[in-house]
Amino acid sequence: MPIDGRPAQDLTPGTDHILGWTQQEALRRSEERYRSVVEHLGQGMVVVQGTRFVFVNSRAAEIVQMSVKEMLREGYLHRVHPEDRPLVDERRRRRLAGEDIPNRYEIRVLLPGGVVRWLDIGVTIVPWDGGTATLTFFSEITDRKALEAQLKSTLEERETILQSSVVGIAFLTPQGRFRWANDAMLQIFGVAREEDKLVSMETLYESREQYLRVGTEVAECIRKGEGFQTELRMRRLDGSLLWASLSGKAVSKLELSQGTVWVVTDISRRKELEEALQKTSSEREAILNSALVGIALSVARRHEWVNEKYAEMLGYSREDLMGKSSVQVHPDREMWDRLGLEQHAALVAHGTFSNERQMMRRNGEVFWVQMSGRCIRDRDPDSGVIWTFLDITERKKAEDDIRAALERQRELNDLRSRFVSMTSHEFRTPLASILSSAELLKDYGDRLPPQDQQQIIQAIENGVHRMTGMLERVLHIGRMEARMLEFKPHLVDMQALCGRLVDEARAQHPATRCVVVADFAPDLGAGNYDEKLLRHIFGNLLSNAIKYSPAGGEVGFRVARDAAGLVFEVSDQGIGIPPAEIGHLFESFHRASNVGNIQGTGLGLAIVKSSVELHGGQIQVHSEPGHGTSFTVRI
Amino acid sequence: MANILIIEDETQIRDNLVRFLKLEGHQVASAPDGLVGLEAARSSPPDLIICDFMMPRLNGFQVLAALQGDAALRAIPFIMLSASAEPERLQQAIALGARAYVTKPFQFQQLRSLLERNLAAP
Repeated sequence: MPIDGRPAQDLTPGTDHILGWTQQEALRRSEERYRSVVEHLGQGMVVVQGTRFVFVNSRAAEIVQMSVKEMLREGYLHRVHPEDRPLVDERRRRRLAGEDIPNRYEIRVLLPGGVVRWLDIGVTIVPWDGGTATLTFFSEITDRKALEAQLKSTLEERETILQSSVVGIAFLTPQGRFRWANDAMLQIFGVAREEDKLVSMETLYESREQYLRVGTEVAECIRKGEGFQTELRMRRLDGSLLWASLSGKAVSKLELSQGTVWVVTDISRRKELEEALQKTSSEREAILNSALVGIALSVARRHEWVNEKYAEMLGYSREDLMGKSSVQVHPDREMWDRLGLEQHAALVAHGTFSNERQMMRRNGEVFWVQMSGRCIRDRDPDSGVIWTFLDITERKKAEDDIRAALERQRELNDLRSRFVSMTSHEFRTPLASILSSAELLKDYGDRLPPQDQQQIIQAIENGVHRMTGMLERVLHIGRMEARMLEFKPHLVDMQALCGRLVDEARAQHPATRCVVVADFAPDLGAGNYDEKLLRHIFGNLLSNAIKYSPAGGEVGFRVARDAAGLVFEVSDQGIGIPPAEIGHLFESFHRASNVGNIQGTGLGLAIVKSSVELHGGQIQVHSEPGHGTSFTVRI
Repeated sequence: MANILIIEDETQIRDNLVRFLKLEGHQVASAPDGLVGLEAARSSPPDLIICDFMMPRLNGFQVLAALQGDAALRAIPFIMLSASAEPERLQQAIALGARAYVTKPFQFQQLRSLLERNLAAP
């Protein structure tokens, strides 16, 4: 069956030749059937032999608003639109001449009342009554034509819109080939001449690598049903480069084979401006970054921008700091909060703020900076504050050093005055004893009983010994400071020496309330020691133990031997040493603050220490104020 | 003839002072530290006190201050002996009410004249 105006080649009245004449009746019935089919066909059908219409069905007559009879008699050429008539005449003439011409075309007919109808004509040559005839099917396509015209105008409108767009628009096949591109698109890529054509996007990319890379990204986006957008350097047909903004998406998300639609804008100018701006900013940033002071722009106490030096002095990277609160570079939150109030008040009042404070590096180290800030807009901290930071650790250290040096100087002055007062006391006291004794003997010698005379002479001797001892101590210290002390060992019986030291200590302090307890291990034996230095060590320690125990108590002197040598311990239950002063204990002329009226030179322990060290030994002290002190010496 | 109290912790100096003053014809009492000396002065107020500066328990200034704070003892002439020749200490002693400040080593002649001056007019 013929469908949609397509001519059915086998359905022709001429087929009866093939069937033969012997079956007239059968043929007649068959012809009835064909005629019925042809009559009821939705298409017009005419057969023309020469110039004569030999067959017309009723649909054909109906389309051209004629009767079948009229049509058989007159044909329908007079109904053909005058503009299309030459075409029809020519086609017919050439067809009959046996030329190969299109057998499908559309013509208009002009009906009475001026009505124009579009017909779709299909013509074919068929055998007819021993000759040939043209079989013509036609159907009315006026409505279709109208729709087509409408569609065409819509498409034209759309194309006009796309064409007149200032942005480049292109449709690409899934393979990235151009299906359509508007003028703006052609202009962007410099397609000026007729023969230049946009074929593939590839030629527009800076390099094949770039094309493949972007292609992969695009494919990924399209597959995910997303749009793709980028800005990249592209190439015009003449080879010059441009910056383009590309944005594309699938024409249909469901039917990817329909390809992609792209919007392209030339953003070279904008990029140029951006680059110029970038360059200016870069230059400025380079200047700020090369600054030797830290610089930070802070808005609402967050680092909006910091320079290299600022990040470096804090041990962070610039990225670590930018956009973050400044709290992380301050030692603690409380200080940061306090600083915030302080600086805000100053910035509002004066527009600037400057102070010295401690900041914290990433590794937790705290250091000193001088920081100064100025509001971007006058006295408006909310507009942002430009801060500069100068690392003043060195200066602070120098200040501390100077302070320490001054402190040391003050200590030395104290020491000197202690030395003067000590030596004057320690010399004047025996001198007073000697002088008064001498005067007594001189002025009243004859009136003094012999026993008194002996005691007075003894006082002179004691005074001289005391002065000599004092002199020796001062000289010892002098030699010690000058590193001129000598270590002269010889064989010493330790048991005997220690016994004598205890006796001497007791004798030196006849009025003491202390009990001196000696505890010597039996295996002390003899060894090579400098007896003079040992006397300095234990004479002083035992004497101190008694002297600084005004309320009495036990003074212990324990000596034992261990693997490393001899261990001596001198302990008391006296006034003890304040913990803060233990560090200065062995310094010359230093006396603890709690000695009160107890006399002393401040030299004893300095001499003890140097003597222990000359023996290659060690001394340790443990003390509790009010409970006592114990010294342990290992030699 | 006067009652004199010696307060001095150095035994030999104290003994010599006692000997000297006795030989000079005075009644002498002595104490080995400031606290004992102050008690002695209170229990038996002397005519004159010779007192060392640096001593255990109470030093010379503390003894002097205690005496000055006691109406009954305030008027007793007080001579301070000291091994310190620092002018500040002398000034402080005088300011506290000492009649004289004698630096060690002293000569008996100095003491003789001080005794004369301070004992003559009660």
